[in-house]
Amino acid sequence: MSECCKKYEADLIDIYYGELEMSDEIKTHLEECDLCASYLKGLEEVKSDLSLLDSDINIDNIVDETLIRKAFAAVDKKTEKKNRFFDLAIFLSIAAVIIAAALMLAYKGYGIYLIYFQAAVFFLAPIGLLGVIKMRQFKEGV
Amino acid sequence: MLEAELLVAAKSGDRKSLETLLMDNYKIVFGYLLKLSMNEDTARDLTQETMTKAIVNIKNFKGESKFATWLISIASNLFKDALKKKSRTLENIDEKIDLDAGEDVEQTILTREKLAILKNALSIIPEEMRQAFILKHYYNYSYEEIALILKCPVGTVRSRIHYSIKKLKTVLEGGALE
Repeated sequence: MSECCKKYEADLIDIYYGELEMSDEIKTHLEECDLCASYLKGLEEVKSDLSLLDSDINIDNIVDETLIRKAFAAVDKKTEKKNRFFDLAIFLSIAAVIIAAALMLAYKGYGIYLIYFQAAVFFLAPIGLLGVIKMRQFKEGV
Repeated sequence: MLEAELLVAAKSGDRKSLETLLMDNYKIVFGYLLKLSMNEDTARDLTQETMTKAIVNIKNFKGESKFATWLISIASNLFKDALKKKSRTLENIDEKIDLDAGEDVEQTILTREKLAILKNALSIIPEEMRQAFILKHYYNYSYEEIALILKCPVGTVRSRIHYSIKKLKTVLEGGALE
């Protein structure tokens, strides 16, 4: 291809890919220049060769429907892991607040009240639980 | 159901609609990654990663492009990342995909030879150029769309496509591989 024709080379590729309209100037040049006309024809032949790859890759035979399910499963697993981490973070935050409050009260000299409170919870909780069970039984008519 | 309706449902959390959308676009994504990587296992892994990323980010999809384009964009980024991480090179897929070239043995051999040349020719084109070329040649995206997918200027896309087609033309017309 001569230097003169090389400037048309890029335009011919754009025309071939539908990115550029065939101008009158190029049309006239193609009629007069065999080299450029055969260059454009060559592009068409490349197209036919490149279509071989599509016939080789017969996707219908290798579609893996489980792949999408696997993708959903991977996302579910990730979400579950995230939720678990979030729950643990909440639990640890609440625990830290309670411990910090208890330590603060002990530091301020209210440690004895903490022990009273703990003892009260220790004894009253089972009694309270009995009350809850009785109420439940009453509701259910047992 | 239309793609737009499926998208609205999928974005509001309807799993079935999202599954339908992904199933409808599976072939496009898998075919693109297969042409790009030339390796079925790599293409399969990356397709699954693309689907996973799409499921996670479906709410962020603004609908400015087609759903397939969005998936192709994710697949392109994942392919780039995979190349960086593992320095994956093109592998021959001849052993993995059977050629269905008709009954004529001579023709089959010729087609196989041509296919081998084509794959070799594609393999010598740098990945970023090949990405642009595949999107243009096999999927008929415009230069602007490819620029958006690959996040690079339109001029770069144009020069990458021109480089690729010139290289392929030279090789397929009997020129030497460089």
